[in-house]
Amino acid sequence: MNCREFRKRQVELLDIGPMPADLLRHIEECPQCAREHAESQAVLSALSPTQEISMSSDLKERIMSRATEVDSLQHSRKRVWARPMQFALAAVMVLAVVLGGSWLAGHNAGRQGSASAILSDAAEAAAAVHTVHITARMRTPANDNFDLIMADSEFTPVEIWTQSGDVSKWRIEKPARVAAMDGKSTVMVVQPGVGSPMAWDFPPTSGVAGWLAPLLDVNSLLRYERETASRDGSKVSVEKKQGRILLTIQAAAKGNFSESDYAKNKSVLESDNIRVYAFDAQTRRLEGMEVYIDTGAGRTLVFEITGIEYDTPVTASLFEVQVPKDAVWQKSASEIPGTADNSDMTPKQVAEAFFAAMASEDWDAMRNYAGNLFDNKGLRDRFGGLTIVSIGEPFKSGLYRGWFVPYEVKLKSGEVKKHNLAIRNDNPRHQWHFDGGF
Amino acid sequence: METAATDMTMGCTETEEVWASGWPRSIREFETFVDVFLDRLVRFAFHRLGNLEEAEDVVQDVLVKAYADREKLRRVKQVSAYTYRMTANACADHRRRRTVLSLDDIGAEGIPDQRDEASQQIEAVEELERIEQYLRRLPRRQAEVIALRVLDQLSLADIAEIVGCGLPTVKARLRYGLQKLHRIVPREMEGSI
Repeated sequence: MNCREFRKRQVELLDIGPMPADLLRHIEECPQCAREHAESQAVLSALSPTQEISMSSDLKERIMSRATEVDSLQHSRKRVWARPMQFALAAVMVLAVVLGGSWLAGHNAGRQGSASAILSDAAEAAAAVHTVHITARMRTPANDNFDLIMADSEFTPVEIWTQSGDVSKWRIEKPARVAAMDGKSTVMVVQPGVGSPMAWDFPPTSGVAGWLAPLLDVNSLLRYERETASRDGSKVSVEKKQGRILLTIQAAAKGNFSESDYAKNKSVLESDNIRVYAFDAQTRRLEGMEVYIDTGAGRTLVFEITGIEYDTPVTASLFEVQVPKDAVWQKSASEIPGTADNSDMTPKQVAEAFFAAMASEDWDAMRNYAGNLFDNKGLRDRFGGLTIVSIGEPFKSGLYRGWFVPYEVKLKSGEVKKHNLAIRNDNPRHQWHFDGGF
Repeated sequence: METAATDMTMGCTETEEVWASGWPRSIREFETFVDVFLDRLVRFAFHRLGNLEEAEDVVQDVLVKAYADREKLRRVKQVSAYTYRMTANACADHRRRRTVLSLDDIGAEGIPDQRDEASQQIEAVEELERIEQYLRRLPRRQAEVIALRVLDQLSLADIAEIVGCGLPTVKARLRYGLQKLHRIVPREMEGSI
C-alpha cells in the first residue's frame, strides 16, 4: 500500500470495529501517515463529548406502559370488529327472520356481491370526507367509561368529532367525561360525583375511547367490514328501506363468564348484540347506526346515532380539552417517587391493602395502588375513615384482564357500599393498580 | 438474541443481526428492541435538541409510534437506520415547534435558560455547544457525518443507512470534514488535544 491509497482509506481506521490489517501495517512503516492518522484521531477525540448523559431511570417503563396501552387498544379493535362479522355470517338466516329483512339479491353469490359493494362504496364515500360530526345517545352513566353500558339506565347524549388528514384528530364527549386527541396527545377530563375534576394526559394512541374507538375512523371500520365479508364468502344481512340500505351484524357476547357473569352486558362486546348500519342508498354515506343487546329479558337499544354531519368546519380548539383550573392531573404510582413495588401481592391482598389505607386515611400508602387519585380532597372527605365490613374472594369475568374483588364497606356518613373492586396488573412490571368499581 | 440485546455498545452490524427478521412484532420483541436502542436514541436526540427531558419525550413518542405502526413497518429491513431517521425527523419537528413557541409565546424573556437544569446536563449542553461551534463551520453533510460518528458513536455503515447514501460517500465526507477540522480545531483548542 502506498501513502496515497492510505490517505484515501484512512477513515476506515476511525470506524467502529476491527481495523483493516493492511492500513495498520502501513502506519507501522510510514511515520508521516502515522502522524496524520494520530492527528485525525486527536481531532475526533477533541470533538467527543466527555459528559455522559443519564436518561431517566423510568423512561423504559413509561415507554413499555404506553406500548402496552397500544396493544390493548389494537386487540380491542380487532375483537370488536372482527368476530361479530364472523358470527353474523353463521347467524344470517336468524337475522333475516328476526329483522324481517329481505335480501337485495336473489341468490347467495348475488347477496355477497351486494354487501361487499355497499361496504366498499361506503368506505370510499367516508374516505373522501375531511371531518365527521356524530351525535348519538347511549345508555351509559354520564361520567363513566365510554365503554360502559347499563341497559336499564336512561340515554346519555354522546358526541364525536373526527378530522382526517396528515394528522388525525378526534373528540368524544358526554356530559361529565370528555376526551380529545389533537395529534400529539389525548387529554381527558372527568367530573366525578364528588371532589375536583380529574384530568389525564395520555399518548395519542391511548384506549380511552373504548368501544367507540372504531367510530373515530369510519373509513377504516367499513373497509375492514368489507374485507372480512369478501374473505369469508360474505353472507351479510342487507335490507333496502326508504332510500336507505340497512346492513345488520349480530354477535354473541365475548369473554369468559364461567366464574361469574358480573361483566355480562356491561359493554357491547360482552353482550349478545345486534348492530345495524344505515347507508344512504344514493351517496352510500353512513347515515346511522343502532346497537341492541339481548339481556335475556328482551332486546334493548343501547346505542343510536341520531345524526351525522360531514365536512362541517371545525376549529383546532375543538380537539383541545379545556381543563378546569381546579382539575387534579392524574398520575400512576410509577410516576410518583417513593411508591412501593406491589407485584408480589395477590389480588385479595391488594384489595385489603387498598381498603386498609382508606380506613386509616394513609394516603401515602394509597398511592401504591391508586397513584394520586386520592389526593383529591373531595374523595378523601367522602371515603377516608371508612369501616371494612367484608372483602370476598377475587374472580374474573368477561373480557376484563384484571380481577374483581367483592367488598362491603361502611362510610363515615353511614352509607354502606357493596360492590366489586376492579384491579389489574397487566403492565410490564406487573404492578397492581386500582381500575374502578368504587 | 439476549446477548446481543444487552450489548449497549454494539454497532450497526450486530444490531442488524438482532433485527434481521424485521420490525419487532410482539410486546416482548419490542421490549428487547427498546433495550437495544433506548440509550443510544436518547443520546442521539439530546445531541439534536440540547435538552434531556425533551429528548426523552421525543424518543418515547418515536418508539411508541414505531410499535403502534409495526404492521405498516413490518417490511422495513434496516431497522436501526429507520429508527434513527424517525428520531431525527421527530427532533426536527420538535425544534420547529419550539421555534414557533419561542417567537410567539415567550416574547422578551427569550428561550428558557437551560442553566436551570441539573448540573450534569448543563455541562453536557455546554460541551455540546462547544462541539457544534466547530461542526457549524463545515458543509452541512460533512458535519452531519462527523456528528453521527463522534457524538452518536455510530459506525460508518450505520451512518450510510441513516443519511441514505453509500458507504464510499460517507467515508469521503468524513475524510474531507476531518481535513477542514485539522485546520480549525488544533488552533482554537490549543491545549485541549
